[in-house]
Amino acid sequence: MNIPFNGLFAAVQSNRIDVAISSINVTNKRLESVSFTQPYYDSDQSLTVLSNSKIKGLGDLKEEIVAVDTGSTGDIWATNNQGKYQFGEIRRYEGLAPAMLDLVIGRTAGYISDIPALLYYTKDKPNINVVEKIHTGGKYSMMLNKNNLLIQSINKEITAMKLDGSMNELHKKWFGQAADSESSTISVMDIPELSKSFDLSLSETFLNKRVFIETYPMLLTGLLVTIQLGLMSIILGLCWGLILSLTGLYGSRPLNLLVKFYVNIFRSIPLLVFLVIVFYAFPFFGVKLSPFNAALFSLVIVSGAYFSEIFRSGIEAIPKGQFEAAQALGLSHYNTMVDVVLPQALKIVIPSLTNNCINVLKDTALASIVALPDLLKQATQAQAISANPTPLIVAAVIYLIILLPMILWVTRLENNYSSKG
Amino acid sequence: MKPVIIFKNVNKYYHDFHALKNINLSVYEGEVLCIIGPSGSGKSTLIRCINNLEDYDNFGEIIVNKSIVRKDRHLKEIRKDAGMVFQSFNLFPHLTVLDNVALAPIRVSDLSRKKAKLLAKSFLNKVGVGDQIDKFPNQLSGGQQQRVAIARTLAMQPSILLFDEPTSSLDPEMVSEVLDVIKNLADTGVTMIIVTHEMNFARNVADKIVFMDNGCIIEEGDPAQIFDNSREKRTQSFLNSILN
Repeated sequence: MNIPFNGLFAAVQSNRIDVAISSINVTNKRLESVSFTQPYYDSDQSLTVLSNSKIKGLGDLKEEIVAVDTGSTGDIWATNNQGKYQFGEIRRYEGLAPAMLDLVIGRTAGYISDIPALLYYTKDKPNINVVEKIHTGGKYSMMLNKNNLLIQSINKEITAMKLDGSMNELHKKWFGQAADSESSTISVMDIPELSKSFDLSLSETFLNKRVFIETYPMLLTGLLVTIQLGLMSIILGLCWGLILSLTGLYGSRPLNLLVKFYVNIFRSIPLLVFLVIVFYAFPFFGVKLSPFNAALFSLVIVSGAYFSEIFRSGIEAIPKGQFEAAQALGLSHYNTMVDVVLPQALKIVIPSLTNNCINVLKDTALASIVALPDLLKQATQAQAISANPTPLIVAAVIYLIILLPMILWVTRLENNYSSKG
Repeated sequence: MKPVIIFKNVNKYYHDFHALKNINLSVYEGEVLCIIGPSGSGKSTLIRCINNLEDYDNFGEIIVNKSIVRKDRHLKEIRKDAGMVFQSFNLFPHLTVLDNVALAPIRVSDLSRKKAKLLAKSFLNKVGVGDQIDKFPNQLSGGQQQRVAIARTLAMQPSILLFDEPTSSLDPEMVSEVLDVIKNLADTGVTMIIVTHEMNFARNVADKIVFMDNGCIIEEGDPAQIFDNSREKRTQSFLNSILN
């Protein structure tokens, strides 16, 4: 099974997979929640930059934006050393491909990740260079759930591969040279264990108090970003939708058609696809938006199409006599809309508008794929660092606490409306 | 007396349907004109052309107080001069009775809220619903609603009043309360055009009756002449069918 890096921990712990083999470093924190076989590879981190960049090492990254993989060893190292090197911002990506894309576009100044993967990746790409090795003493190992009995037999197999030299053969094949004789690729090691034993019950795995206390500040900063993005998207989306609907209803004929076209296009295109286009394709046309602005722009453009349809249906539900009475009294077009039509139309569409606002709030979670540190992003990062799904569960509960009251409110409104007939 | 509304060769088409056929008509200052005729004869269309709720063909002309009625020309003045009361009341359901009446004075005549509400109250008293000002339209009976609608039109102090079948949506027992209000207004000297099916009322209140059929004005004259001495066969048969 092919699972994204930060999904491996939950997959192992829920027994969906037996063993995870990836560039997974053994850390004490992770050992509290999962088990590891003996290490088989010494891994350090590295800094990768564009060949023509003025940045030649970690010392040049002051005030710069640094890319890492969410929850990886590089992420943990960069977070711990942010003060020392004065990184302007650490931006977290879901793997190498999107991180590389943003490095090439120039949104980030450097990418900190596992050295073997980057050496291999940059081998045939002259525009990208690994410029510094960052020693972390990290060791790759295979990850299993605690108490998974397979660990003994797998570990025995690794020992055998080290002793008969086949592990070293693999190293030669992929890196072009033999492994260092002191390295974990050659020497047989013990299964890593914590000095203190942790035995987690199911409830301790999925709702771990210690992990909760450690990670909730991260979740709160994420929540703040989510709320900020959600509110701004809703307010701007409502304004944009109203403008669209009025233009569609009362503008000249070419404008009507344009609005119709717009609304149909953006209701057909998945938000995620549009967001990826805005974030990764617009820079090639000279429009380089920050993650927040890219997400805000996409949400407003797409939700505006839905809001516009809602407003249109509300306005069209107002009887012709209301317009005529307002006109006959001499009210201007503006006052006819503002004083007579819109107040009535809004009342009709409040349930639909609220439903759409809920959708916009939920859709903010998509912004985590453009490295925006929203609630979901912070939660995935926290669960990768602690190798424990608690932060994800907590994030789900936070989404519930925000959205459930809105859902209940809408349901009540809809019931009221239907009982009134 | 001078004419305040003049129709000159006015035609109106809805696609292929010829709704108004070469209408010529003058309404004089202070005159009360009742338009009668069968359904679909063009009565409402004619009255709705006066404040441009309906447009009409270019080669004809409607003149209201010396201004030609055309889209986006003098419309604001014409609509201030000529108020309209609708068959279905068309009160604003989200506003209280008082706010319904005060809205146009605030927005169109630029009166302060306080002055507009005072003005609104005086007209609501005049039509006999002064005790309902804080209610919403759907809390009133049909007759009360139509009287509020009349007050709303009066609050703009127009010199011409247009009534488009003002009692046709009302339950029979409420017709007279509305007709009484209209009759009182007729006695104040304001120019009025009333489209109506109430023949006795028309006979009582009108200075002039216009009979329309099939988009044409068939006959016009004072009530006695139309109701008792009609020269036109079509007028006679219409009146016979209604009055008997």
